[in-house]
Amino acid sequence: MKSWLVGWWLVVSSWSVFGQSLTRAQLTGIWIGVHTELDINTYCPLPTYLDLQPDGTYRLGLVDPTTLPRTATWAVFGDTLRLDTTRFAPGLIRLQMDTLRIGKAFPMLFRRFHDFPVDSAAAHKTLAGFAWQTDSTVVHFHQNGRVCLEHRKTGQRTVHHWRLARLGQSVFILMQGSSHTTDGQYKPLWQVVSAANSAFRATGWNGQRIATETFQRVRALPPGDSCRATGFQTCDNCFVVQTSGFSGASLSKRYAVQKIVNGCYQPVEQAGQTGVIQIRFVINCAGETSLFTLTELDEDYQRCTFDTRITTQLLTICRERLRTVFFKSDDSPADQAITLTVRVKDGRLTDVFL
Amino acid sequence: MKSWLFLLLFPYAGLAQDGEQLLNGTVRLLRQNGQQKPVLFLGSRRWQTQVDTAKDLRFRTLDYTFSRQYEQAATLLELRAATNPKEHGQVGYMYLNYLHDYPRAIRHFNAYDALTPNFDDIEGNNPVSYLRGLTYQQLGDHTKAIEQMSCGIDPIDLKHGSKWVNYRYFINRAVSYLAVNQPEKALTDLDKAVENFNRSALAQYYRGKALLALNRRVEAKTAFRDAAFFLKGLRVERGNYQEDDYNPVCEEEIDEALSELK
Repeated sequence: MKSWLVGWWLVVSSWSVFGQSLTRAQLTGIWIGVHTELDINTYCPLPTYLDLQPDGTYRLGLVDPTTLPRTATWAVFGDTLRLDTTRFAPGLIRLQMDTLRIGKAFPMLFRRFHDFPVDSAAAHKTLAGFAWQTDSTVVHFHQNGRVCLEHRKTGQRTVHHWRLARLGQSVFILMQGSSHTTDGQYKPLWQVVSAANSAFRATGWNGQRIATETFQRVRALPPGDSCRATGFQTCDNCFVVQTSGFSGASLSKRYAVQKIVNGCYQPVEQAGQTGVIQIRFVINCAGETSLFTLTELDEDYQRCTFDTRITTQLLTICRERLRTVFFKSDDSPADQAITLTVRVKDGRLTDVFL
Repeated sequence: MKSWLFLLLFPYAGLAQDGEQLLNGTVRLLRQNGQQKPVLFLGSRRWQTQVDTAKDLRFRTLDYTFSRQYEQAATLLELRAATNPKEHGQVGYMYLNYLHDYPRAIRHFNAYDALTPNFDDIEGNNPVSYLRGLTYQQLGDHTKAIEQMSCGIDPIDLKHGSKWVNYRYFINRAVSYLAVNQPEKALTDLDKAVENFNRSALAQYYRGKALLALNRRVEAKTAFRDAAFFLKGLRVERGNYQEDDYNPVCEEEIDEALSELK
């Protein structure tokens, strides 16, 4: 009895870990991009679809129909999948129910597409000019093409741009960009399943899982109303501070930073105020600074607290003066994570480096 | 690994893109995902998980240093040196070059040099005395800097000739000569540096400074102009290149020097 249970458990666990073995029939169909796993628990929405056709050709396209899809061939050999010239060894493709997971480097998650006929003009008319809410989010679809995503618990609000796109007979809600840019990265795609005046249902990634959510209509938005972000918003919807903060700044920037910091800082002569102060912050594509973190270490690299006259000065310099070094409005700016380190000796700066 | 490489490999990050670029990015992403091994980027949680579980002390030290987590980096650097005294040299270099902790750098260079008495040990490609000189220079003790750098430079110069001395050594010693008001000696070193690399913007910039200190303003102006010219040339040839980590020169500094001569 026990061995039977162990055997059953092995079968179930191997199915759940490695997924089902692949067959052409299982893979054939349209797969909608959900997200790419950029890092552990860090996802970037995937605005593409993969149409694996029964004749061995496939189309890779954007759900936003502004770009012609790429066409190539595909095949399955045992548990190996070939897409164009790329072969995915067993284990790199995982098919579980209606989801397809590709790769390990940046695992891409797709969901199987089910076509739900929706009239896009009617859907636009229903959505535009109203605020809609799920359990976790309030979405404001403005008539001017702006959309506000408001987290219900935290009240945090980000601004993007929205429009509808058709795939088959279905309608997708596309949201991209930020309050500063209309293009750029997309937010998760939502496929409208049904739309009525009081509520609409849509399938997409809700931050936790792929789900079909009901969006209840909350209120009408006044015609001149436009949404504003609460606080700081990066322009890139896939911006990750951890992986963006380590690029070496050019010598000119380092020189400018040293000059500004040394020029602006007023020494706070006080014995014992010695060690390392590190300030990390982000400058978005509009030149706004935020997400400051301060690390204070003494000479032995132990955590300590410096006189606030020192740290406040440095934070103010970073907030108000360094923007001009890193932000140039004329050269297609992008979000940047900056790490400034200064060494302090008895309240005087002895070294400034990036 | 730097973030520009992350942007190159990860197509959805960073820049505003049109549909064509996004599709090209997806194709690249699919190819990346055809690889068995995950791609790791400095600072990412995946990378950090590897670092935290790694047994290799050197790997962990490098990671914490490059990701500027100095609290952890310093602990591991000291552990490295304590575990293997031959690591003192590398540890000193890390303190000098990345953490800018010069007293600790000196301590580790001294410990490294003491391993083989009467011999100027080599750390990386540099004599440890030269590195110690650089450290004293960063501390503003130029007399000791000259003394230590000379210990690294003079034996090679005497034995093999100045052509065999790294031109950056001459430049960095010249910087200290300039700081202690010995522009003639600085100029001698800088002329040797130019002989060894005649397109060095750095050498020409400091030559300009030495000539200015000797009140040879016309020659100084020519040297600064040459520096500006070579700097642009090197940028075209090698991208965002800097000749030296310790006394680098940028366009703005040359412009300032030239404007002061007007």
